[in-house]
Amino acid sequence: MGFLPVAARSAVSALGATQAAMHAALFEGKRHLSPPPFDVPERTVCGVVSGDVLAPLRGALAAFDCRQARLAVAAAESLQTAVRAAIRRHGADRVALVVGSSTGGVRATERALGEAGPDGPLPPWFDYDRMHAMGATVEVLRRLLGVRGPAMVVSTACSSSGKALATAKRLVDAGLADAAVAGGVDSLCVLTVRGFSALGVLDEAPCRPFAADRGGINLGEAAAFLVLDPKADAPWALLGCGESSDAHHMSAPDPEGHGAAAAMRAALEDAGLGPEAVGHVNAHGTATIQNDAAESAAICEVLGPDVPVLSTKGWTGHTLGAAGALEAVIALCCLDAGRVPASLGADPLDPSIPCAVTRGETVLERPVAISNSFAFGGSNVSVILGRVP
Amino acid sequence: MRSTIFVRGAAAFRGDAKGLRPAILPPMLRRRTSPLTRAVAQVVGEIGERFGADLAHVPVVHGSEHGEIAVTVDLLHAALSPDGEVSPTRFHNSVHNTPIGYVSIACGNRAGHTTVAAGADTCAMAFLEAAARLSAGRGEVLVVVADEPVPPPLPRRGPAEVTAAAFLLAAAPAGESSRLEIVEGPAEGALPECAATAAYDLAGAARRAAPAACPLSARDPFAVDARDTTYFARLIFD
Repeated sequence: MGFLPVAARSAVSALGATQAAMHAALFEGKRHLSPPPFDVPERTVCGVVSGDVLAPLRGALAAFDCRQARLAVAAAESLQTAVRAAIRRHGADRVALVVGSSTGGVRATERALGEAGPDGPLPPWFDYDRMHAMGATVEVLRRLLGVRGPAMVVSTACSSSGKALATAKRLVDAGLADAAVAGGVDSLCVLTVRGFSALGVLDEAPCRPFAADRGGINLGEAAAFLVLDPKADAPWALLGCGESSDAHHMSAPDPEGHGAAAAMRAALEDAGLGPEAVGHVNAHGTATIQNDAAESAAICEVLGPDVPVLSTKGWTGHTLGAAGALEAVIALCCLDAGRVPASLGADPLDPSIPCAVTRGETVLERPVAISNSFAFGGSNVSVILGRVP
Repeated sequence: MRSTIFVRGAAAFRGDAKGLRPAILPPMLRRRTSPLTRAVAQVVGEIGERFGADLAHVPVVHGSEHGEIAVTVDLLHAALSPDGEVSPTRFHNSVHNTPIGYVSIACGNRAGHTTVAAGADTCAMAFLEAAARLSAGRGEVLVVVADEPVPPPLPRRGPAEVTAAAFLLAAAPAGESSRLEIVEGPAEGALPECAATAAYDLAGAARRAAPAACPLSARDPFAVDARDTTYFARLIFD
């Protein structure tokens, strides 16, 4: 189906809050991981968003104030000019809002339950509807941006915001909206740190995607959004999206990578591109033994052994429901630069990984990137970004 | 905004889902599932059995306001207590797409599934996502909207009992199908308490084969700002 120009983009993550900071951090190859911003028994490091960009919400948004909403607002605020332009062109009720999230505002519920103790009443500041509930994330962004078209959260764990981009594209392709704001937001919380630790896939040290001695994931938090407007004059576009399910296991990927391969093939088909058009892959690349083995086999099968493959989890941690959107923005940053950095932490590379994980800065030969996200429930998505045709 | 799709079948469940033994869930999988997941598997299974849906291939759109909220609250208590044990199974069972993840595994369904949440508009957005998937004019999509009561100490939200409703939707009319128009318009009349109830009532209307206008939006949790428009569904039997 049609391509969707990226009129504007924004992300806040451990890489900072601006595109310039993201570019600098990526190409300097510096670690930005730090201990979790709350007490947990687990030793680990996380991609934490610096507190100075997370201002308390004020005015009409004050009632929604929690870490999740602050992240969302911090990322979305800088898109207001592009969103206003889309509203002027198409009308507010024709601009959709699709937000990927897996945590919602559960960090606020953790704080409330912690203050309440085992049997006490929840503190008066806590508001389930405006903080915890998935609908709150949509509502706070609707109010900030003034969009009034179809508005929803996509919540499929770690593929949420990749799938949010797919849903936004589908709504516009179908004529149910004329433009869309799409992306994702997830905040660090005790539940995910302890949960991934219980699954035995949390690394105490900075994570090492595709490395021979990789020891699992680090978590991270982020918010990232794209303004997708067919009428915008923009260099880059969302070209295609593909989705699949593993139908294999709730939390382990299909070891053969069939679902991952199917998502990449579906995205290529949606974009009307052959595998030879792809210039680099932003891998899901979580640094678990299983993901990196299955995903690299799938990449090799669909795109061949030579296409440069980058995992950015070593910079940001795994930002779960925000990862698909954050990594779409990172892929656009690489496309702007015309090169991709060395995949942080991948050295020494696992010799059984069959694809070309970047070991040094690599010049991009083709202006098309494919970005993968895979999730609990076997829920997979691939998105393709590249030069406007 | 107006969008037209066709309903080929509907199924609904409301009640105590703990004892459900959905035919599509093998006992090994079922033992690990919550009542909410069982209710979703039950109505999806009924759509397969009664309307011949190809459960191994049909794309599934799942809508849920609160997700696996009972599992999540249990897990939060464990995670927040210093000596609490966090169960890895309960952790991966706490994600919003848990029910449909299990259904995809049970049915061997590799078509992409998705789970959407949109507060009072959760049911409406699930139908819009399905309408978008059907806009190419071919194929079928299964929509399943489900929620369970939000447990204490969180405020009472969601349905009073586990509620799930499934719809087999198509781009083109066939057999006994009814036409369904999704319309956004001025708010009117009483709205159901939650998205799952809206879906349950719509499934009932579809089963009775009587023309109806059903609200797809629920009462707004942000009631302080009265909504000027809501989504509703017009069922038309040509």
